[in-house]
Amino acid sequence: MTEMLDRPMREAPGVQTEALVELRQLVVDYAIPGRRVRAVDHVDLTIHAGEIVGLAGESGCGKTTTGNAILQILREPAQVTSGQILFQGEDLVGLSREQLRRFRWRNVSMVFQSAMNSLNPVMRVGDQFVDMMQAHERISKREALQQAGELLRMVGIDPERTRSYSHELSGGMRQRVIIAMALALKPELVIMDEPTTALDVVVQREILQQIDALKRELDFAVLFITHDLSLLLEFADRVAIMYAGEIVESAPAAELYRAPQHPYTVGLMGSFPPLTGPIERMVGIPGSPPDLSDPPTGCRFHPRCPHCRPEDEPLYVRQVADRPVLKPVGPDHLVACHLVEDNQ
Amino acid sequence: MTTALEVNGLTKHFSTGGARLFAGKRKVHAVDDVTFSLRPGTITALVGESGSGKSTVARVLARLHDPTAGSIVFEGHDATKSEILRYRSQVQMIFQDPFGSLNPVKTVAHHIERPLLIHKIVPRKQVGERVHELLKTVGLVPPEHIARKYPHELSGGQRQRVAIARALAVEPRVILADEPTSMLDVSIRIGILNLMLALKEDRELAFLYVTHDLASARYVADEMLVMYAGQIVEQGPTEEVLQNPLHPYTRLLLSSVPDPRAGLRLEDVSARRSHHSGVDPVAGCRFVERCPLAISVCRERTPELVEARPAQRARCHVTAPAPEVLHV
Amino acid sequence: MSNIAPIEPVGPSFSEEPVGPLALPSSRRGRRFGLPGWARLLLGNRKSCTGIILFAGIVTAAVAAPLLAQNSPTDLVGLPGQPPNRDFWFGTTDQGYDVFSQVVWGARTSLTVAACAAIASTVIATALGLLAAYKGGWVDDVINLFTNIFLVIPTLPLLIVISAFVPTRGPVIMVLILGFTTWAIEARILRSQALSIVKRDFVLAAKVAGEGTWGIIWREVMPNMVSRIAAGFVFVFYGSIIFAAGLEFLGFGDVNGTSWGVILYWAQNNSVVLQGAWWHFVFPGLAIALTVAALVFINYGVDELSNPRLRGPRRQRRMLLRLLSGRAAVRAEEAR
Repeated sequence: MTEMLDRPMREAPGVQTEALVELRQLVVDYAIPGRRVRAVDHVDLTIHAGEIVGLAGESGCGKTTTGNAILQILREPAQVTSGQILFQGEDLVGLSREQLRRFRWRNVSMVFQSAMNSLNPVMRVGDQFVDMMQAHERISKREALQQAGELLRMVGIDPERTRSYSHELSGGMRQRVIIAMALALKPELVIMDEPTTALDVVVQREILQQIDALKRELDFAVLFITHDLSLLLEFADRVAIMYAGEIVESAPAAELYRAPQHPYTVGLMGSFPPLTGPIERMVGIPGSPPDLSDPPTGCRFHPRCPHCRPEDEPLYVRQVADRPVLKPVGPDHLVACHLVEDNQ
Repeated sequence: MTTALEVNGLTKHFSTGGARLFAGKRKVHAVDDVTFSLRPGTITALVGESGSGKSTVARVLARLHDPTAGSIVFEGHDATKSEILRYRSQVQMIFQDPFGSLNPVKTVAHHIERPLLIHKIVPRKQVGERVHELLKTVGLVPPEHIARKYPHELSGGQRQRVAIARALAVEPRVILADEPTSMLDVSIRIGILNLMLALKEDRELAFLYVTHDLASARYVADEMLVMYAGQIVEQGPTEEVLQNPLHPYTRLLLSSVPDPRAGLRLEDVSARRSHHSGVDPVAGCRFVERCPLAISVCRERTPELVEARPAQRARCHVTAPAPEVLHV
Repeated sequence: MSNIAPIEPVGPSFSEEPVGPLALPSSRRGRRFGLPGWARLLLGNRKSCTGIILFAGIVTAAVAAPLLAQNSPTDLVGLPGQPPNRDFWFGTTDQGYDVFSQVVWGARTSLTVAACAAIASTVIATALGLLAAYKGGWVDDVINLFTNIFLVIPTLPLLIVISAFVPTRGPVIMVLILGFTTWAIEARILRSQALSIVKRDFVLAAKVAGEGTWGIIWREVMPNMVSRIAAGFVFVFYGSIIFAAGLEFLGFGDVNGTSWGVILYWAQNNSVVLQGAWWHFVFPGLAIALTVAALVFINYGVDELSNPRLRGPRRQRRMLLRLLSGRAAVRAEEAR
């Protein structure tokens, strides 16, 4: 039963604009002695200028690793084994440390889940801005503090707060500070990794509205990584679903909500009880995400998929042997599923 | 219908370390004057944001803290005066962190055996069998295989099921579930919620479901209590509260939950950002700084919980005024 | 009972390989014999493996004393003042006792006394430290007060003062006084670690399940601290060897007994240094030094058990290389 969505029309920065960031067949492995865990397995992802791309998935699916890979901040034992990370056409994988240092924060910045991990508890907020700005350009402390005040005002915090310590701010305010820091050098892309997960739903909404307002003012793209699919369906322009290191479906948010194709997406959407409408018994998805050091053969989702039954030869044979590939099923709507492929 | 557990005027204050030498200790009013009942065969949701006091209520009910004031009535007596072992055999708890609530160096069997042995639920020889039965009840099969495992060998959902099995071991009448699904993967949450529903029906259990997630509260709960800054601001049947919310905070919560059906709702971003700190609150409604409906009396007098609609109470001068006020 | 259909079937899709804190790096040594993880780690670490072998050798010598040292340590068996020779491997004392016999038989006393003292000390430290951490409040304050008192007083002078007042001498008294004075530092350390454990939900869950104070301490908290307690035990063990030897050397032990410190007492008493009879004190001294060194080495391994971040032989070599020769050497090592 599909439902017509009445979403306010949004500019579609999809097909015409050139790609800002493009991941091509990205592979990231964790080299632990004795075994190799493939956290990101041949992922293709495109982010256009000014677009909000949502990357959804549950724990262990590789979404955080993907975000870290773009910013090239993967720490051992993780490493990019193969594939390309193109920023405006230039491959980031081959860049030198110095080039990467200049690239980070100026072109692409990041907002992490917990502001606690990002803010230095013994430094005043303003000084942290100064630190960061002076690392990237020649700027006096006074000027940097002034800019910091402006940035805080932009995220809705009193500029006087540059003199505060992080523990003097509430959780929501801290997260805004982090966002302000991420925007300080006016990057083209901000990667946000679960920025609102630790916050209350009310503060979460305020933060999202703030991000939206900032985006309209500064025009940056956002890669929004989260497990909360309902949030992405409301907030993002396009959504990509990750499972076990692979992207299994990607589509514009409205389209994904209207017609999810991949059984995992369907199951995931069936895991969010509705706030309105009839209350029906829901099912979720049986089983649990696979151990990536020994993933299932063929389609990684097949052990949990309601459409994978041994009786259904020859589909079953393909499901357990061949990895499904992302194929288009509609305008800008890609799905990696044998069953969907067969039904096309 | 009898009540399994009753809470009257429950209050819990914590003293914070005084900042200045002679200023005296400051008190955090974590919970103030909370009254409600848990009935057998019902799930009661306690909803609120972090800092609202909802987890503290659960912990006081689990007798991990002693209340500053108020009473807990259990089996007709004031529980704070009755014997604790009997209480613990009837009131159990499930915690938020599935990994943290299990001892990493002990097997699954240990966790379920201990309550059985402490409360002598079955003779020693039958303990192993009962452990297997309980594991089957919560959907962990094959039980012999699972019983020998250690927590780190299980998934998050399985660990939470072990925690539920442990709680069920003593055959309690009340289970306090403190955000049991918020640290689980989304697709696993429904399984745990369904298990709670099944247990409620099969065993006539009374559940207190503490959560910040309105949608899951709607899915499982019969009654809903909304907490803000240590007080209950609204209570009533779940559907009533969600479809016709009285308190402005409930309305704010409802409008904040992501709903893919609407687009991004772009409200005034500068709205009401001050936050209640909970320390030494002054008289008046605690929500006044963030309330769009606030009138002058809201700063002067703390509103009472008033039954503005049948079975639905709210703490608001504007939407649920006390009856005397109407006599103007 | 209930007939709820299992929602999450568990089957062979399970990975059997444990991940997480109990997963230890594999080591070639011991694998064949199916030893438990901790034993493999202790043997895998070069330092602790050396320590284990050395300590095992010393203990074996002590146990095999009747076979190893044919002469009684308390009989005058030879000409006095002989340097080490074929008949008397460690020579003879200025009275005519066999030094080798004394050292080997003395090992029994010294090791047993130290072990018992360490057991007593560890039991007290564990009980008090964990109780203080779990109960908090005034119990914590009282225990802390006692701990501080014992910490502030320097151990050796305290031991000397107590020994001076105690009427009898002997190994039992030595065990008691060592046990009751050395517990404080471990109690403090164990309390610190226990504080972070008792806050965790599984302790609260045990409390809600009806477990009593000592049940929680013994069944829930302590098993999470075993390796730290073991490290503390080894520490107090070798500390006791030193303290006991020290007390005995000063004459506060049973001067008629046979233990390493007493040998040293007599050596000093009879001014063997002036006489040039180095074998009288070098061999017992060496025995003490080697035993303590062996235990210290073992503790390197035990420390790794309690702190997983220290694990990995590669890491130690890499750190050392980095210190000595910089990045190039590290890269070469990694390439290997």
